[in-house]
Amino acid sequence: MRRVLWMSALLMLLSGCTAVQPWERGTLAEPGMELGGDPVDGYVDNHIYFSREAAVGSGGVGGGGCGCN
Amino acid sequence: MAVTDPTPIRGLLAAATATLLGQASAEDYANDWTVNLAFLNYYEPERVNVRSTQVNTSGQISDDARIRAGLVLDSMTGATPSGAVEGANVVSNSGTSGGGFDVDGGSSSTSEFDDTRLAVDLGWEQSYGRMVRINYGAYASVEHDFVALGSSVQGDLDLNNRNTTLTLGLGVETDEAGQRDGSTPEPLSNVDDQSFYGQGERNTYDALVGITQVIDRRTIAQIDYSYSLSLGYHNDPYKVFSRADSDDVEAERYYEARPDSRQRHSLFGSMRRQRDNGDIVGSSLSFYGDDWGVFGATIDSSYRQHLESGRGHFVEPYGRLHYQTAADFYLRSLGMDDDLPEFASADSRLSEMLALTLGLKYSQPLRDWGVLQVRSSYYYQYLIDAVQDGNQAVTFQLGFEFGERYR
Repeated sequence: MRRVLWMSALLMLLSGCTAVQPWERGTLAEPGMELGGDPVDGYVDNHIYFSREAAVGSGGVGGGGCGCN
Repeated sequence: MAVTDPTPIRGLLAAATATLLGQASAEDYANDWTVNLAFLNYYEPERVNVRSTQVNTSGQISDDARIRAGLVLDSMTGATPSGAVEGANVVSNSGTSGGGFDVDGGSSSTSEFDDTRLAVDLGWEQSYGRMVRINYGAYASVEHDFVALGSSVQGDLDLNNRNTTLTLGLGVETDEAGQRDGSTPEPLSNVDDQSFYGQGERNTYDALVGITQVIDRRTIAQIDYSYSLSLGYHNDPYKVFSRADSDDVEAERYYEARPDSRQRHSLFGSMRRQRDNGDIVGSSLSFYGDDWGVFGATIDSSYRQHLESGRGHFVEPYGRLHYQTAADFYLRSLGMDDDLPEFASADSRLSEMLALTLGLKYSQPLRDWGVLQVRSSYYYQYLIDAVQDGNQAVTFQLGFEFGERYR
């Protein structure tokens, strides 16, 4: 029951904070507004950090692994 | 859409009309393809130099399917820390992670290497109805001493009038690692004993749940939680640690030993907002923890300042700050009277560290052709209780993207 209440509260919160209609999304659809940023830059950076650090952040599944860590 | 139409607005109107009427033709899909070329030079002074060439392409192949393909070729040379202390008594010298084997290379605490990596990445995004998209991915990465094969599937479900997207992803990867001849040293064995096994194998399973939320007309945010379990061989077959006295005079040298499983958790939050003047602010924060005792926190931010409206002409400074604690079994070196522990590694990547990145990206549209991007960064690692106090790197990246959409 508590879980249902939490889920309901979350959905109410999410629907409450947005009133953005499809025709109002011009800005959000512009290049540069992708949350992941440029995919090539992300790939390069993740590869560098993965090979030089042990605590690598997330943002996706599947590594494209290398023998560098 | 006319391929040779010199008037962009006519092309855009034609595309919009075709989309509205649901009459996109094969020619429209062909026009959607983009190709991205990137060249990267990663340079650590007096250590590593990596030259990387990447080609990526993607495009729509039907009303509800999009594919992408990528190829990466890395050429790696230089020397990296082996884990041994800087003492004068060189017992022997191994190669290094991701590289070959050269007993003559570097100082007593570094090893020279030279290797090439080829990686291929393929993806297919399929829409099922208007609200569900599934991304299927597969990749392979091959070096002389390391092979990785992996696949992933990630589903996105749009809700709340497409203001909310739920994401669920699963991935699996299998790796084979060894020294250049395919062998792996016996963990904790004395380097002088030269005791070796066959290749090491490891499987990794990833899962991710996430939510992306439109906050307002100019702001979008995302939170992901991911879990990863890896089972099998986790050692770096080239890494060693020293038994040394208080003056760092080495008495013996052993191959490292890490646990044969690792569970990682990470929480990642990201936000992007466009200001009234069109500039875009991006930031992310992530926390990481694993059962090796490593905890990490990373903050990342960027500011894209448009030099003219639209068309991709901008400068973008960015920065990143990362902190991590050391793994439970990390040691700088073993004391003269210490017993060999169950697990031990002097790999500085498992040490406590603070890392800073400062970078700048510049994007210049090329008229009716594509876009040229230049990106450079400086990376500094402050290593705590490691043989080397720090490490620094400079990157330079040159990229071109072209496709019909730029015409």
